[in-house]
Amino acid sequence: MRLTSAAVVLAILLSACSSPPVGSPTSSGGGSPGEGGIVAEVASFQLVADHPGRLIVALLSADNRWLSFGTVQMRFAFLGDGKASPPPGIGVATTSAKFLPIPGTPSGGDKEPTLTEPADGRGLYGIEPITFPAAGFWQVTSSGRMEDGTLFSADAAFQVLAEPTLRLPGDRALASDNPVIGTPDVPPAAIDSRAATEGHIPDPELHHVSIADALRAHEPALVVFATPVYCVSQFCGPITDLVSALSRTYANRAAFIHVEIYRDFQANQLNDTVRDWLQTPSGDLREPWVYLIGGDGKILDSWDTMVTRGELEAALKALPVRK
Amino acid sequence: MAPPQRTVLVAVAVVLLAAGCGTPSSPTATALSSAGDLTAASSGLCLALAALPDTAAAQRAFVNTAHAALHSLAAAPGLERSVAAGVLESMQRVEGDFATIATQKTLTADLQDLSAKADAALRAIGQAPPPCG
Repeated sequence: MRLTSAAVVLAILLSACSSPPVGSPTSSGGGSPGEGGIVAEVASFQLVADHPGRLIVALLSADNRWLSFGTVQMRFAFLGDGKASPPPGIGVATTSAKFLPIPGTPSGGDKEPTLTEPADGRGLYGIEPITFPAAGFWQVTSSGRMEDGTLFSADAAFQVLAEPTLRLPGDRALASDNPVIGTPDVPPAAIDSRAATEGHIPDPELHHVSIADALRAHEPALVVFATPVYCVSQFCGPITDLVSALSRTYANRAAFIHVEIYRDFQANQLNDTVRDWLQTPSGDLREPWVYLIGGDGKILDSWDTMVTRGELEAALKALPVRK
Repeated sequence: MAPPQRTVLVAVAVVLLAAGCGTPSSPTATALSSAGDLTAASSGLCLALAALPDTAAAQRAFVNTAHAALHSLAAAPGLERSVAAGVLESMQRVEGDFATIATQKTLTADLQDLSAKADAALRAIGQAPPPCG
């Protein structure tokens, strides 16, 4: 049963990465169903050895309900590099991970972890900051007790890189001239994919300033890279909506910018800015990403896959009020 | 604490296999696009249409049953980008309808359009859409 389940997970992973428009999970693998029938999947795009990062894990049931709310314990084991037995003594302390609701979904308040239908709760469990002391393959075991008393435990493996493939906090931001409203010869859907279905760009406030403009003005910028229509995960639209909502409250702290992933989805053509920022040397690309750039042009923070309102608000409030 | 050897091997295999599949032609992430039964995309839309004119019930059927499966369907290996685009664009319209409380006429038409596109996508990857109704 265990191997059968693992084989199913393998098949899913392999089938999910063989053709467009699908991307590929390059750093994580789901585990087999564990105690309580829960399957874990690491959703972090980039974890780098000896760099503080954010580990986010989805916990799902076999019938695609989400484990939501509360906190879970996460225990870690270093698996090595896949070639030799892992050296002893490398580890990370067991840590409590809190529930991070997808923007616009219930947080659950003080509820214990509960299996929910997607309409009643969706999100990931996250730890930040967390630093892994060695590159290679790691296993996380997520465990706890559900609201109904059921114990659960689920394993997932993931990769920690020796060197980053994408920019990290502290790196200098690229001065990209991403297309904005009014840029010649750029179709509206290349600025926001929703323009293809809605007939207009729904969040114009996110498309007046380019990243290069913000850098030239020495202004902080919150940049979301996402394709609300063509995203095949469930996070891109809600995160773009969240950034749009925050732009109305925190316009005095930063410029707010949305960069659409595709110049032309059907032609599989990326926007140049996306290629420059998000495509790895191997050609892989994951989204959504949110970057906070400081007035000095350096990346202050970044979030992959999803981010909560609370995380972004805390980062924005730490910025000085603009004159 | 070292995990059991079998667990280690399976876990490493999963990561290694997954690590080998990035290609320039497959640019967006599938993380958590759900890996369940793809025909739930079609059956969930049937449930949503059957629930009308109760918009709240239709939305729950759409979110709970169809939504994740539609993402997975659009990401199905071998599905042409134009077909995937049709599914995702139609899904965006339905999501917009629910978000803005569209008229019954508009919501029904958009759900029917999405249902037709989801069924076509299923057929395109060799899966028969389940009967509706």
